[in-house]
Amino acid sequence: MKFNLNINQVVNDMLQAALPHLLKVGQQASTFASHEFQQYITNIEHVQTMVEEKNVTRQEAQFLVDQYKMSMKAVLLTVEGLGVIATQKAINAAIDILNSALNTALGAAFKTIKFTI
Amino acid sequence: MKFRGLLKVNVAAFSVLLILTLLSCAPIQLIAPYDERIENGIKELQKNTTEFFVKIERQGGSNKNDYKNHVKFYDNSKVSTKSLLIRAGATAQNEKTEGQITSLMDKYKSLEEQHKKIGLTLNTIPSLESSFDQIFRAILTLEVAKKELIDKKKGE
Repeated sequence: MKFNLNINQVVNDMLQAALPHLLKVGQQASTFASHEFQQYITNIEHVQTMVEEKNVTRQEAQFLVDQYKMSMKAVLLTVEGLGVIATQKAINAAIDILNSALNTALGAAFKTIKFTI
Repeated sequence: MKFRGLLKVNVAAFSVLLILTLLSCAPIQLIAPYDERIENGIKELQKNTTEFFVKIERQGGSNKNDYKNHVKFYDNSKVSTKSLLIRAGATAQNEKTEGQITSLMDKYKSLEEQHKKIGLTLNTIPSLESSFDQIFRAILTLEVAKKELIDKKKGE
């Protein structure tokens, strides 16, 4: 029985299939995170300016900072979630390649098997 | 002769077992699937919250005595976020969305406490609106990214 499976080729194909997903979603996560982090810094600076100019009280400033902190928790969870989605896409793309390679190899192997005893 | 026959049977059995094992290389799922009701629920909350801030801004802020006129907004927001949290919690691997909705609930709670005790001054409204926009954007970004997983499957 001959098993037509070039392991090195399959591993290489799996990597090639997985990488674009990691790169694409990684880029998406990085763009989202950098925009939101920048926004957070700008917002905190603005609160500081309002306190200095006495437009808000210290209590109000603390309240606003707490509000921003709660939003940032959700932002960080999104970044984490985008990472998980990228991993899922990458693993499944690699599994697709593996399945297809194994089906081809087994198909060929099957042809040579004699089931008669 | 008997040995060769036995070998052929074992090879065939092994092959069938191998195929069954390999066919079990099913796609994996690490995160809960997209939920349209979560997306729509968050969009609805975003709309109501923006309406609330526009109203407060138009009336030049809202002191603690005016709080009672906005109780309905807080009640509706509480009911909606609680429903979304229960729905998110009912799906496996949805901890991230659950955590986000919990943060949103905490924000409404903190907003209501401030309104009740101190009031919402006009100067705080743009910052509050911006912080709520940020959390809605975060939740929707994750949900839409999950949606792409479904769209990809459909396309295959």
